[in-house]
Amino acid sequence: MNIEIQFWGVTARLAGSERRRLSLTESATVADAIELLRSDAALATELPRCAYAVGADLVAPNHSLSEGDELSVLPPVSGG
Amino acid sequence: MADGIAPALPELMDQHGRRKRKLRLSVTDRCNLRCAYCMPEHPTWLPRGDLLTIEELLRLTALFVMHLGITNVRLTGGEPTLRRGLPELIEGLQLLRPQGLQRISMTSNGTRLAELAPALKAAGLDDLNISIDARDPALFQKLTRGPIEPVLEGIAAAQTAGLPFKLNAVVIRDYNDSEIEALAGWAFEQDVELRFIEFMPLDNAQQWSRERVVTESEILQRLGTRFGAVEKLPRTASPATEYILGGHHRLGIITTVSDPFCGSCDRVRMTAVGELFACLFSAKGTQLRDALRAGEPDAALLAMIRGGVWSKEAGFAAPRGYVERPITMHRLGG
Repeated sequence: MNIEIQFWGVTARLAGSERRRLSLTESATVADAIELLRSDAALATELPRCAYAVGADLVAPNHSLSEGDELSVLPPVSGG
Repeated sequence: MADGIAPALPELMDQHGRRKRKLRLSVTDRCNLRCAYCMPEHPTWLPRGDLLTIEELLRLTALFVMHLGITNVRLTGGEPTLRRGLPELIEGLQLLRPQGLQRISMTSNGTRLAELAPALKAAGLDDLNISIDARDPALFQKLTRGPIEPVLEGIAAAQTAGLPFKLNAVVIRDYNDSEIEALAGWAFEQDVELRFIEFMPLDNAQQWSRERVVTESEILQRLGTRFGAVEKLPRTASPATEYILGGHHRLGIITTVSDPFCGSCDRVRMTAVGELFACLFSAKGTQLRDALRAGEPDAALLAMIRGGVWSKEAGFAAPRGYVERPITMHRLGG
């Protein structure tokens, strides 16, 4: 299946763009997506510290992804 | 090294090897503004007797500087200028410079600087961050429940007093993103350094709102349209990425405040009641005030501080998913 990654904050800079398409096996989880993204050396160390959201909901690494999901990568707290 | 047992090193380290150099010291939980992202509109203040006295603040800070390698202190709140005895606190901190204290900074809303800037400068404050989320008086009033005039007077007073400062504006869509161009234009006119802070509404454990994020690239695109070519400067140790707009206007953008790189986080925070938080997301702090008031010797306090920092968790959201922050921003001082 294909999902869309949306990078926020500092991760967009590290990724070199705000969006990226990712092809995953059916029944893949957030953890699988993170694992695939970690092959990008610029992101590798940052990803374990990020939170992840599908839509407006923060999700855990074992959350199952669906075709067409938008997975947001949220770096540590911002603002304030 | 077993978990929970901190080594008695002459520096402050957590079990992930992160050395702490910066102490954020909240000197009061009180604030005279009511910015929605920071504070409830009708907050309940801590009883004054719960707050660390100036002497207690100095004693604890001395431990951090003399025995734990802290080199930078940032005074926060609430609004730190509401704390009685603030110049005396800064004067007291000067005594720690020969012991290794390098920088005394403060984050303020600017409202009381017209009155206090000369005293703060004379007391030895090195620099200031002043928050200003809108330049339009009506919008400023709406966002903060306070008038903008004292802030503008405070900024002018800081300039007159020769206190170095930067302006910080948190940007949130449909809140103050309409002010991006006005704030930048005004800062350029005044020739003061402005930094926009990209806000990520992550305070709530269940949800986050992507619609409210105004990204760095959107800010730059809008400012480029108004002020001309955007040139990115090389990264420095500053948390902001610096840009030059239209050939000569300097601007910073901070995409992640709490140091994007948790792995190299060098901060600890102490609340106005003497609770030590090694991380914004720590589930609970280490209460130092009661031990201090019970007459515990320095060695015991140092052991508590080292233990509290040592057991700091690895980083944001680790290891058990998102951690709801147990303490509101106005108590922790950002």
